[in-house]
Amino acid sequence: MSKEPVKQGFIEAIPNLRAFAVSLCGNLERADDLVQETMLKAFKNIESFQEGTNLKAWLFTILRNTYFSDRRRLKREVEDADGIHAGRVAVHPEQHGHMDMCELKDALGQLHDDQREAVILVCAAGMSYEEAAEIAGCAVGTIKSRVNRARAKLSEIMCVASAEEFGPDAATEAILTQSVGHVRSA
Amino acid sequence: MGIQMTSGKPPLVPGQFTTERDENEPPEARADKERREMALRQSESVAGEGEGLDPRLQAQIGQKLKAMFNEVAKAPVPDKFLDLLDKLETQEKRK
Repeated sequence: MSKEPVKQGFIEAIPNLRAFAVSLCGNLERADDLVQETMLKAFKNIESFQEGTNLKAWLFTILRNTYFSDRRRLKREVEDADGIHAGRVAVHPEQHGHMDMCELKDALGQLHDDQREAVILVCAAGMSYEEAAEIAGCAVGTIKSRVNRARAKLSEIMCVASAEEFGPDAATEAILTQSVGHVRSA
Repeated sequence: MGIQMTSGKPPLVPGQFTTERDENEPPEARADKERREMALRQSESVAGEGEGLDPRLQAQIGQKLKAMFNEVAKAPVPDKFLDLLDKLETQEKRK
């Protein structure tokens, strides 16, 4: 009988779960599959959910575990097939030709998995560092440093594209603060 | 040596650009080239700690991330999910 409030909680969590999944994998179709898998697993393992605890965080955890285990399996398959590390292919694009047109999703795709997850949970989904750490299964300090690294990397990738919205001077300035500023303080 | 440093890559030292210099090159073009070189070298070494980022840039990234997330989070839930939940619930009741 206690399933009813849980089911209501599931329904309320779906929009956020979908948004989390899309942000992680960059593809709505795949994201919806992930949400569906998450629902199935959640229902099957509902006994392990402790009532009164954070249902949203519990569902997010199931979703990210599903996503990352699929990804690990896929990477292994690709490695087995032709010895190429699946992650590397996405991580090292041509930095320069890419920079100007780089959109957020491309930039996110270039991050390490754990950094992408951290920045999505904290900066996009608006979770606290504590909640994000619980979902990712790591220490709060680890989440903080992952978010910082992710932000730095995203700004590197997107600095030209985003600063241009302030006009050419701002674009130059942004690059100067990023790189030349570094030289001066070195 | 920093543990995080990618092995084999020289550390960032000002004035040590690998870009060849052309005497006839206009100074702006050279400065631009150097900046890009530095950006590339930085991205190849440590990913940085995210502190000391231009706050405007940081705010912009935050806004974009939120916008991306909300685009989906604010969209109506497709019926297939509600159907799925109903199905799961009926299965549960039959047990």
